[in-house]
Amino acid sequence: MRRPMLDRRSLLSLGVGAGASLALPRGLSADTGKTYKILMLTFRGETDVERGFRDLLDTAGLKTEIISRDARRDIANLPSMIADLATLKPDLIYTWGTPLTLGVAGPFDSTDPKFIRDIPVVFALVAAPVQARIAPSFAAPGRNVTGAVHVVPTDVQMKAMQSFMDFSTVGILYSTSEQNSDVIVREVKAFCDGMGAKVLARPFKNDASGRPTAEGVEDMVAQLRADKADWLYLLPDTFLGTIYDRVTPAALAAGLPTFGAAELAIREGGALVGLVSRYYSVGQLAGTKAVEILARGTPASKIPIETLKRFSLIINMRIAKSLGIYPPIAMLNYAELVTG
Amino acid sequence: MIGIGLRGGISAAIIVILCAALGMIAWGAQRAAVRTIVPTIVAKAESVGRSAAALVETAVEAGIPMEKLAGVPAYFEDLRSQNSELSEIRLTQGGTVLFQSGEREQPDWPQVRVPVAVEDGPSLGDIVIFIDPSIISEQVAAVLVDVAFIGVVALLIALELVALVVGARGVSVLAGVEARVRDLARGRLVRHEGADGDRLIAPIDRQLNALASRHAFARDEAERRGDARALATLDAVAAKTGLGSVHSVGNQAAAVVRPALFLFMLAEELTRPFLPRYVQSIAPASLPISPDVAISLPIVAFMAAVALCQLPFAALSERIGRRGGFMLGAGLAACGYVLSGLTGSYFVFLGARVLSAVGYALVFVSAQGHVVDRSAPSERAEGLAVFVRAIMVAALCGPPIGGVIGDRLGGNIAFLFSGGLAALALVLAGLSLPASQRRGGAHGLGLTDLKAAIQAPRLAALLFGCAFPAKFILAALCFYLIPVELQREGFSSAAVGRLQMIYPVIMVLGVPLFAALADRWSARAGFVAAGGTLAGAGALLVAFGTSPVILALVLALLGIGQAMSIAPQSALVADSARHVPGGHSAGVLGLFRLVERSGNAVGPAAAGFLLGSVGFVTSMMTVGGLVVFGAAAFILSGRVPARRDRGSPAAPEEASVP
Amino acid sequence: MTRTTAVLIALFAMIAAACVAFGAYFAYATLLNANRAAVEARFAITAQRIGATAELASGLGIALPAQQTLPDLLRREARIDTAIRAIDVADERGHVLFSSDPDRAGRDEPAHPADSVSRVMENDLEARIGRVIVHYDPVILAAGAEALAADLRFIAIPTLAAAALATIAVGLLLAASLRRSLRRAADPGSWPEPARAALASVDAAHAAVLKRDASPAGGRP
Repeated sequence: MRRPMLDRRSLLSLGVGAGASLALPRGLSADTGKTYKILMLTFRGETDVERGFRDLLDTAGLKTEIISRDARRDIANLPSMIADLATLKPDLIYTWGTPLTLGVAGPFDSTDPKFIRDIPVVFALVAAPVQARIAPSFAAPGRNVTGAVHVVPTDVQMKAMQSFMDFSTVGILYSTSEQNSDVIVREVKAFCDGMGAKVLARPFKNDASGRPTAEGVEDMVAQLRADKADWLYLLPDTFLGTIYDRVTPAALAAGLPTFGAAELAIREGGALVGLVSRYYSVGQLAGTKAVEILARGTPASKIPIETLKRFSLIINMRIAKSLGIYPPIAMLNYAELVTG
Repeated sequence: MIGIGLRGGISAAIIVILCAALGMIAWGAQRAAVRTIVPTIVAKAESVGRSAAALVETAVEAGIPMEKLAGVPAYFEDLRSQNSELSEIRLTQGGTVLFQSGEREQPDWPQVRVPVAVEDGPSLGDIVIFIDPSIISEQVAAVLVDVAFIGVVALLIALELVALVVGARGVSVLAGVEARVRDLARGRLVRHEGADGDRLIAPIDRQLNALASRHAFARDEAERRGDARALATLDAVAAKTGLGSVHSVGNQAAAVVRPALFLFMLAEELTRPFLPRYVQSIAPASLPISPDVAISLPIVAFMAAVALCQLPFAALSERIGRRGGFMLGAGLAACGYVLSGLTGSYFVFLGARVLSAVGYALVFVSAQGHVVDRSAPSERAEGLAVFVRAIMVAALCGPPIGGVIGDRLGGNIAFLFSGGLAALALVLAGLSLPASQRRGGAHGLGLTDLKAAIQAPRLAALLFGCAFPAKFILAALCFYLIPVELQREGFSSAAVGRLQMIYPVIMVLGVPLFAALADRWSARAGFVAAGGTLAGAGALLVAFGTSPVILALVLALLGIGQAMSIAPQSALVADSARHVPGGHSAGVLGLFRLVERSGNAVGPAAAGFLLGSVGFVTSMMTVGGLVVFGAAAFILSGRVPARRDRGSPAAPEEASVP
Repeated sequence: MTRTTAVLIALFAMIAAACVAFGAYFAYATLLNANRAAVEARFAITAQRIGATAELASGLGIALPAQQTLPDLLRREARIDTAIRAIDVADERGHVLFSSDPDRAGRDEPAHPADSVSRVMENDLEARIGRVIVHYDPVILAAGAEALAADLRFIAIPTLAAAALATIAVGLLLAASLRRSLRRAADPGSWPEPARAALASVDAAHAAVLKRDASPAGGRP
């Protein structure tokens, strides 16, 4: 069987919902003279996301005054960060991640007055805004919130995995306590059913308080390999993210290639390959939303929440060499090779 | 030889001679292509090889050992599928082949070798590519098909020129001579008029005139004597030999207007292939409309102006005379073309296109009026068929010529060229059309006419379910969506022009055929409905892809569908017209034209809007779906079965012109 | 009539010649386009390679103007193929950011520069970020054009002359035949058979009527 050859464009645009064109609207770069005040709320300092956001506003020719405040990785700091909103009067609030966004804007169906409903909020790096009840749907947020989602659709990830190396069985380790993981496991199963492949989804063991533990993960990985898994898919599971250092060495020892859903999994977590949204590009995407709100006056409620149109393939060559599993040569045309 | 005559004989000879000559040109083109284009294709293989080598180098630099490279055969296969002339690609190291895709059939096929080497390092191996010469020959053959197309166009134009010369007043002496010789050869002793005093003709005319006077004398004699039997014998002989009668010249109205009309239509058809790209180049970025709408707007404005001018110009051309109308229209259009070519402003260009459209409408109405005025009802269908032919041949020849002019000299020069053709048509019309007869009583259509017309049986369903959609889909697909899409895919204007030729070719061939069939089977309504359905369904094919082959198929189905429905459609309209009380049949025909042409105008506008908002495939499907829906509505309206009377034959009277 | 015939034959010969010339020129234009397409396909591969690299870098957050490794890449690629004059990377407004030819950086490129192949580059938002423009040496096109023109001229000129001469020859033959028929038509005795038969039937009918009357009038004119 010939492995499906996908070029970067077709691979990376698979399964992505069609959205409005993201090209900068014409005439937007005109100097409108007004300086817009943006309150930027970050969770762990400024990252590439914010760089992309700022770069896009600059490119669009918007004059902005950005007030940046950081939660220092603690959501409890949020109230103090937005205490002076009444005097600050920002034209737009930028938020990083689900906790900050939810903390600022609240669920869409909440009537709690502490949530902000009169200032447009543009988020970046929220994985599942609908599940988190930030907005009722991607296409029409219907409220003062819109933004950029960074997760890569599951089926697009599966296709990338297949392009790297075809498979008949894929192994997954996940936490039963995480609703999001549950959804993704189901999506993986749906995709694999379509291509006639098997999914071995094994939950982590829970401790007495019902929280997942890393106990015996090495054996679980070895068992997946023994059960003929061709890939270990590292889904975006919060708990899994904390134990990469135990999972990937076990996979490497078992000769099991790993496909990571999060960028960190490949760069630092020892996964072989992954398809990710570039943080910089996610920031740019959020930037286009801000430009549309500020310069064009489109209400946030009418601007769809979107994912990127293209994603990036990252291959860890150190892992590839250890496993002796190399990417198809055509992938080198569009993959980023790291040696972390 | 005598039967054909000098003019006919030389016309036939020129076709044979030109076929042979164009065959020679094609042979020369083939030779030239092999000598020049083939090495270029080989050079491309080298570029592919370098690209592959660069990728292998990237892999090696990333630490992948050469022999452990993954997916190399698949990558090579991909390169081969994109460049079909590459029969075999291999990666070799030393003497061994590491990876290979495809296999050459002959060991001596041309090959390209590109070394693989990391920067400043030693050679690691080679990419070797073998080229299949038979595929290159196929690619050359594809080019030659284009050349053959050009040959057909050249031949058609030569035939139009021949018709122009043969129909010219200057050679009427020859026509007289040939008529005399031909009549004698058939045993007809009729007298001929004209060409008095020509040295060669005079003796024949003397003989025939004398014979005629003797016959008259003999008849007088018989009459004087009251010899009924002798009279009968004389009359029988006269009827058999044509004695005493005067040779009548067939209806020349259509033949007279044909060359000028052909040139004029050619002027407009030239602009088709390059118009969208030209508009794109002059549309300023600051327009408050989307680029797609900006491109379609001049086309829409042109169609709309032509549609709107139909009714008022019918009366106008009658008032100022057909010749005057034609000349005025051609002049206006010529000015429009020149202005279109010279201006750099989008809005001036828009105005110039409208000016050309006004001229176009006036020329069309006048030329048609000329044929209708000067032909008896029984000759009308035939006359209009000649008229349609001129337009169709122009539609056939214009786009490829315009495409080449646009590609080689630029759109503005091509517009000036159109202006020149329109001016030439003006001069020709002035020389060939008979002096205008002004008519006082001509008046436009009143509202009552239209009201009466719309109440004619089943007419509304026909107009809005078939006539409007037919022109709508033609203008949307053939003149807008497909050219724009092909240009987006990177095809040249000339290639787009050749694809656009599919439609008129099928029309020229199909219209008479389907018209005859529809009449024979008394199935006009059926043909109209089936044609509409087919044309609409064709557009749905884009669901399977947008390759040029599929687009060609879409155009072919559109052509077949339209060819099926166009003549029966006008026959049905004519039928309806006869059922309108109070002699408002003119209103029905006028309404038909107006509705039809509105389809022309709305087509590109809707297409531009759709393309901008939902993309090419969905636009095509929407347009196709609407047309199928219209045909279905027409079928459903037909609870009254199609009339079986044959009052007006389904002749290709209605010119399918935008 | 002689003059008319001569003019007619001349006109037809001209039409034949013009039609051959037209066919040859358009065949030339068609071949030229095919040649250009084949030439440009080669440079499109180069443009594609460079464009993909720049897109990758831009996805990593390195804005196009900041991709300082590009000039090296452009120079390397331009060196490989001697037919390449220069390779530019321009931003979305056509401003040349980098070029294999340092003098070209900073220029503004038109949307469709002559003798070049472009490839649009997009970022992860599918917005245009710029173009790669490969300028090739028009000499390779000109050389092809010249060869094509020479080859076609070699065939077309004799063909054109032959077509015109053949038309004239056929015209003269037809004219001679017409003249012969005319001359014969002047004398009823040499009329074609159907005409003579018709004449005989007419003569017979006339004779029947006129003889009965025994009138001196009539007879053969």
